[in-house]
Amino acid sequence: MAIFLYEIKAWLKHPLFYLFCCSFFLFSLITMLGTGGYFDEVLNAKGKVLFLNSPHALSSISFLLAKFLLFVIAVLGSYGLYKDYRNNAHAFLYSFPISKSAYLNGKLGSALFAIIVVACVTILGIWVGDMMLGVANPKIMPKSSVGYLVTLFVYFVPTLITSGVLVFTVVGTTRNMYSGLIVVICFALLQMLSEQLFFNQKIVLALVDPFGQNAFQMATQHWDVDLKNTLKLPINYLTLMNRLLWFIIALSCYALFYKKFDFTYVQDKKFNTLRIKKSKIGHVNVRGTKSIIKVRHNFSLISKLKTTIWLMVYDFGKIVKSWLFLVPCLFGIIIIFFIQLRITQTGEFNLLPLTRLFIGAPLTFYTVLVVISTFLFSGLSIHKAKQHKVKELVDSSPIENWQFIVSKIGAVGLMQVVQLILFLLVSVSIQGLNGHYQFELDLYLYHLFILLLPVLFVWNITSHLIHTMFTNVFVGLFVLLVLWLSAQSLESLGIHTNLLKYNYLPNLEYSDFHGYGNQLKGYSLLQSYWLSFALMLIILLTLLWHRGSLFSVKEKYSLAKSRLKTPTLLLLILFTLQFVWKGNKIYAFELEDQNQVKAYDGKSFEHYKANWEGHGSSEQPKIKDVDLQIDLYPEEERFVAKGQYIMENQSKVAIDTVFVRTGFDENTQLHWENQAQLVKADEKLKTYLFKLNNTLYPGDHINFSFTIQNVTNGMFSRNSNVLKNGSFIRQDILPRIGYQFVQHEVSLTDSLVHKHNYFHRDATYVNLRTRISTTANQTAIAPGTLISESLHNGRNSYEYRTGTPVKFNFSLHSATFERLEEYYKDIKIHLYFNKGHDQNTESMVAGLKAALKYNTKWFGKYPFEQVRIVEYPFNEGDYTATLTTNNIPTSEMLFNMNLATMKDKINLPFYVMAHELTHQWFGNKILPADAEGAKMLTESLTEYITLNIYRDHFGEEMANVFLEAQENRYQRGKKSAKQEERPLYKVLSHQEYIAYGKGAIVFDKISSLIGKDKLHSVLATFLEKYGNESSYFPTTNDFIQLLKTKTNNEQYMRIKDWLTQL
Amino acid sequence: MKLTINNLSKTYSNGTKAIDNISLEINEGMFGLLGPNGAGKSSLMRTLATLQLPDSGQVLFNDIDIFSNKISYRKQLGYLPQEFGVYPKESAKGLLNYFAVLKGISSKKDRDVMVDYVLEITNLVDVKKKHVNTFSGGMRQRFGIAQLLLNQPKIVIVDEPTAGLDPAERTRFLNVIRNISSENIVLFSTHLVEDVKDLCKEMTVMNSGWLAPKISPSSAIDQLKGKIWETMETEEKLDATSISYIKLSDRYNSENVLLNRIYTEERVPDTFFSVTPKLEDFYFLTLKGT
Repeated sequence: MAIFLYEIKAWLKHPLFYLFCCSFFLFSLITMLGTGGYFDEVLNAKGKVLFLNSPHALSSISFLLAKFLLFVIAVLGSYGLYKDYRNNAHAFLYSFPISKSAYLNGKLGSALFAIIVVACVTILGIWVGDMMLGVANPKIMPKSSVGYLVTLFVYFVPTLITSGVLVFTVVGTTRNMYSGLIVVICFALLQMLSEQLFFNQKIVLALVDPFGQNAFQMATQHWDVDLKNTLKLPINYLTLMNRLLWFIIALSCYALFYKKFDFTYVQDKKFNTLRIKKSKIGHVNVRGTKSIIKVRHNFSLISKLKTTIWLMVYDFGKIVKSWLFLVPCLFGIIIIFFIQLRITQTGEFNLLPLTRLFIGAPLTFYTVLVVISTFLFSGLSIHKAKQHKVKELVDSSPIENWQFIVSKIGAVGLMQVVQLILFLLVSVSIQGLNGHYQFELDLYLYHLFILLLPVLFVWNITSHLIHTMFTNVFVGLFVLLVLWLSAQSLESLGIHTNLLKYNYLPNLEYSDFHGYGNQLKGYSLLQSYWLSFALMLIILLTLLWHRGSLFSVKEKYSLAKSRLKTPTLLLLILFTLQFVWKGNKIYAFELEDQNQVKAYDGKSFEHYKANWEGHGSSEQPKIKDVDLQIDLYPEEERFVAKGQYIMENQSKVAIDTVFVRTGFDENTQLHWENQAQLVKADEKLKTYLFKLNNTLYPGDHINFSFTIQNVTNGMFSRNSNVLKNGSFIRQDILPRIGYQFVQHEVSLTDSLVHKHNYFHRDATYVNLRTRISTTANQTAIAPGTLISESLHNGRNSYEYRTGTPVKFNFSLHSATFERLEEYYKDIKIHLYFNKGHDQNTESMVAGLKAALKYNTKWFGKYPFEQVRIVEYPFNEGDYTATLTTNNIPTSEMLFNMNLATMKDKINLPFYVMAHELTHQWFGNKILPADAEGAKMLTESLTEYITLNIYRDHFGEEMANVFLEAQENRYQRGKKSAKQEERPLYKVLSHQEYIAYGKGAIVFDKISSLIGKDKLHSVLATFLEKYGNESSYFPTTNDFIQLLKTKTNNEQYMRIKDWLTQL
Repeated sequence: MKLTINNLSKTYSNGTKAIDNISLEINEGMFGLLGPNGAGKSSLMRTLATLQLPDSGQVLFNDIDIFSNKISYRKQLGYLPQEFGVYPKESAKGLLNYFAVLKGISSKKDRDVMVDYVLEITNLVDVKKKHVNTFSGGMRQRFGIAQLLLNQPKIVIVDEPTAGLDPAERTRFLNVIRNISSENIVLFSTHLVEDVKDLCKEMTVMNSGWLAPKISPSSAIDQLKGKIWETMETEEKLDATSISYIKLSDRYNSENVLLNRIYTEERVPDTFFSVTPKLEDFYFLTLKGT
């Protein structure tokens, strides 16, 4: 008890303890306030919002806080025990009549006491934030104390205590405080590792996750917003088992350590002195030192450089031999392996192990380890001489300060380089082992050493400066971690500027089409901004670097001041000016970006509704004819377009106002040629109301023209769809007619349910003529048939026409494509893809051919002369492929499928192409009404047809794989759904797990019930009845009615049950 | 070759006056700095090793200010602090090689020669491949000497190097030091008077940051001749007499009688018997004087 109380008193007197308490109190307080909108304008959010102080939300946030607190645990858990070794106090302390239990339990008890206090103070920060936000805040619920108790005593404190006991045990065993850091890093990584290892074994995962987070997720996986907002406890038996398991693990480790611990056992080898034969030490050479030997003590610049390099290599050698380096590296290798596995083998499909995938998520996680290693080893390097009491010997040597600084920074820099090389080697090995030999070493080298290493260099310099400023290595580490994590906290505070996010650079995405694209400009500017700052820090480092001991802050300051001679001052001013100049540039670019409102946020939505409400129900003319001329300038990432709409009043009432909204990322001029007057405009929301000079009566036509230019790309924002290679432009650049925020997917019982189609209110089927031009080395593609092409003035020009009216769904492309040409009967199949992406083209063509064969047999003619698959960069769209007229824009991702390893999985390239082409009938020919269940008529039917195509092509066994995949998709979606499940006939657009997964299964069952031929004849009738219809858009009820007429009562009742019940 | 200290002062931030306006000139040979624990010896040594800056004053080595020309001074400096450690898992040869690099021997060949040489001088050849952190106290101190010899220093500063050594190891150590001093300045601090007596050409006593005038050990003893007495009289009785004296020390004789050892320049009664002065008497006398 005496030791316990003594240690507690020691903690209460230690400034580090208060630093931790204050920091985490403020961190949690700011996080709570930031999330609660304390620093921003709070919106009167309508609808359901998640309470921040419900047991569910508090437990969720505690997992994040626990990870941040782990570093503190590494110190708190071990300091009391370690200080006895560090100060050699154990040499006499162990001879005292203290019992082992009093000593170890006292030390452990006090460590846990300190941990619990910091944990409580952290949660206190949240509670104070809760109080400051107050119950008036829509995100705050009253009576939240239960949540705090659950968070604290079920998740937060047990996790911290477990890690604390493990840290105590390991540090006690190794007698090295830094081993505590490794324990907490492993603790954090163990969660990530177990998530990879036990991805499909949720119960095991819930048990082995040291934070209990996966158990929490299992306990709450089916909770909707309402449940999450109640006082229901986010705990189940797995949570308790998890807590118990880790408690037992920690206790067992401690028990083992306790058993092995021995006061008389002198582990430290420095006390195990060497025994030398007495005869050998009797003699001493008595000679002068000067006259006998001549060696050169060389202090020339070359020699100093050589010495600096020698020291750098020496320090580097010590780092790489250290287990503090080797253990994280081993974890790094494991991380790379599992994360790439997670990305390339998703369960549904396998991707080729491409370099761009490795430099994505695996590298992001790996970089965390590199940064932590940088913080740690720079601290160890700076404090090493002091720690081992060699400082006075080293500091009195005739080495210049700059030699020490350069060698230490260089050693850590070399370590970073080695870690990056290790990443490269491991990644390339994994690629090779998977049979992928296109290593793209140039991409690795560029990404790792040109893009990433400078960022790590800034951390290297920062880390050395911070550790020079703070004499305690753990304070230095703590300050660095706070700095590192500050970027996210600034976001919580509503501070979004890059100027203050310390050395924070956005994640870059790489596409084979256009590399990093325009992200690189902003990245490079930020990189040079922080590098300029690092140069300033180097000057500061040289000023603050001190040798010897007993330096007070005053002495350090006066020493720095005395070193600030004219050349140094000039350099400092120069670097500062450079930093300020770049900062000013960034600020100007950010201001420019801010001035361009890009998308609707909550505020603009409210603004729109307030300004324009009431226009939603007015009749508007529909677009009938589109004539577009668009010139693409890929090098300049811009386009200029001119176009004309012919519109028709298809309603039964006269129209005298037209409502137009133009593209957000475009500057559009509308030309009415004296047919209409602008009566109201909202430039911010690009919304305009025109009064027609002459009333437009039913059946009348009106035309207007427009010119469009994209808003130029900002330094940190993308405004233009034109890329240097791989442009993919959708119809959203064009002006749209009508009020935009109407209610979609209306009830099936709505009286106007058949009035609008699901896709567009302002158009049904239109004629489209596109004249498109691009640079000579690129091919431009638009919907329809290619009428003409020419090369003029170094530019390729093309004219496309649709020939027949098509759905208002366009895509325009421009890239340097490889082209593959095939035929299905007299229909041309063209594949446009990036060079080298030809692995899966055969399957894609097979999919198209099979779909053409199947659909033309059952559902009628394909309306175009050709079908084109056009590849676009993987980060340009959020879908794998889509059908736009006779083009199928397809993501680069589909071209990167690793089909060779997918023998037991769906042939995705085949399936996607068959699916998209089938939409020509179910989705284009049939335009469902804008009502609930619309996706059953597009996606469910298409999935069912695709299943049949798949069955015909690959056989029954693979069709079962297809069905199994759909079943999995349904079950998975059901588990993670945030909204209640709906029956298939009322499925909503975002409920893809129902529309696709369940849809395919249900229609396959109907097919089995009534026979494939009969179902197909129903589908054919449905197409015949409602296909290409412009005035009556069918709903699921129409389809069910049709089924009723074609089936007997028993069959119908069963079918109805499947479609209308859950 | 000389080291000149002019009006050097150093006060720590906690108010301790470690060096109090001292001036001293040290020439070639061994110079002893005697003083009790806490006298300020290590502060002075650290300052002379340029490891801390004085608040005021100047130190010149061969007329060059050491604080303004730290690096050139350090090229000629060998320093062994009172307490020093070693990097773990480093062999004696490996660590000496590291220090040799720090001391400007950039050629590997030269380093090997020099390291072998200092290992031989300090008689550590047999253990050169052993980890230094496993060395005994005496071996470690010899290793300390080995490292300071690497740059063939002209000025050597050793701070209480014999503390904690057994007599044999202490003798060996002092022999090494003695050899160095033949051609260099060796500033040697200790609280053991015996170390200084036989080794140092000159010496001084330091106490509470203050420094006594330098003197040779023999002169120090000579000037006390006829002034050191021992008596069985108790201190109370001594105080009752009219003799002005300074008590230096006391000891028990073989009859278990306490003998007081005093310094006086006055005539003493017969109960006092004259004894041969020792350097220790000078040391205590100087301390009492301060």
